Amino acid sequence: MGFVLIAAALAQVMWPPVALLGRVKPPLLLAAVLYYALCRDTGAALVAAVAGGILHDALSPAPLGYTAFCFCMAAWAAGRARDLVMSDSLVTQVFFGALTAVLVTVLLGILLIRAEVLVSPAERVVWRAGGQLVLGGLVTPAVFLLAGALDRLVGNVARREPIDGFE
Amino acid sequence: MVRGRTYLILAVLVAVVVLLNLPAPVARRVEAGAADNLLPFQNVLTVLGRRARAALRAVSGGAGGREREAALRLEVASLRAALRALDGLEHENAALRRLLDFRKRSELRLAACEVMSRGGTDGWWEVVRLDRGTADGLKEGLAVMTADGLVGRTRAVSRHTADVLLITDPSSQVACRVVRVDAVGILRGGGVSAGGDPRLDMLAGARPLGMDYIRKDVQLAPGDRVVTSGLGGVFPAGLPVGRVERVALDASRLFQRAEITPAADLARLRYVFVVLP
Repeated sequence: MGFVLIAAALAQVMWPPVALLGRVKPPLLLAAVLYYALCRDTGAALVAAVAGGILHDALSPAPLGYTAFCFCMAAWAAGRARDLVMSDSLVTQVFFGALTAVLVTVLLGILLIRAEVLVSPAERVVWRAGGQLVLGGLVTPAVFLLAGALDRLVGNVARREPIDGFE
Repeated sequence: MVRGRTYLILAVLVAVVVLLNLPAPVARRVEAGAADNLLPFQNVLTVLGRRARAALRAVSGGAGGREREAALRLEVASLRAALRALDGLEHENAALRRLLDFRKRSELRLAACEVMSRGGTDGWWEVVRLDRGTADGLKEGLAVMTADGLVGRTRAVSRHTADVLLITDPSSQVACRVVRVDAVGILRGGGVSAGGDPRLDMLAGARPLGMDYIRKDVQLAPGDRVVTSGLGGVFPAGLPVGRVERVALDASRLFQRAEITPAADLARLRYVFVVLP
């Protein structure tokens, strides 16, 4: 988990902001948290959310804990739906990736503006939420794929065995 | 099982509440620790990213001339790539020479730094991260500039990294002076918008900087030079900031407000100087 979160945080920091989408960066850390929320138990999801949030805030000017709180909300919301969806499905990953990215952006934006840490008009929060909707939907399946492959490689989860020719 | 989960949720809630209420010095230490520990990995990614971009440029540059024979095309492409690489090196060499020259000429004590990343983890703020920190004499609140002009000021400084809040960020405020008419004002970052100023190039969507609270009785003209006034106590006086682009009365109609185009190329920051005290 630590490796996945650190790799996601570093990749997110190094990624240049996308100007057309409100200067957002792809929510790789959130996607990693979402992976643990949908594919693991509540404990792993919340630990990933807090650790991911601390990493996120430590590498940005946001006060420590704000993103951890938002990630916990996202992980909790996604975890509630864990038993109702197929986490392997691309549709699930795109849907939850996009939805939680918007949720976190709006929640974080409101918290930061209310705390007067961020000077930003409300329309920019909406613009950024739109950007995160697109990027969240795009990057989440990729993060699920990589994190899942890594988990199988190191033996955290059982390898997929074909049954009668089907995986 | 249910009780265990309840305890876990409670523990996480407590952890989040503690995090949100950490005293500022402790929070700063945690942030600085994370920044320093991740620095080596960030360095590797920075270098890899630059090489990948250079390779991409070389490949895209060699895609022309489809009519020619395959072997010839390959040769032309490889020659172009080599030339492009040399051109890039020459450009970098020239930029470094210019910086070195500026450093020699300048009377300020300057620490040269390299920009490692931009925008933090989320891009809410206009910030860049530098590869120098307190170990090199940097601290919070120092002016950061290029040979062309002011870039911003240092914000969070760890042992080996420093975050710089750019003058384009809406929370940035710099006490400035219009040289020709000797009028002072406060320069604020314009933030970003969907339809921005194309002159700000890669900062697509960036609004021009705004200089507020300029006396009504002075006549400003486009092209007037703006420098730091030194009145705020953060930036030394006389650092070039930019030029006046447009002037109008502000909403209160008691002061003038000028739009300023920054002198430094904020879109392509690679090497900067931190003005040491």
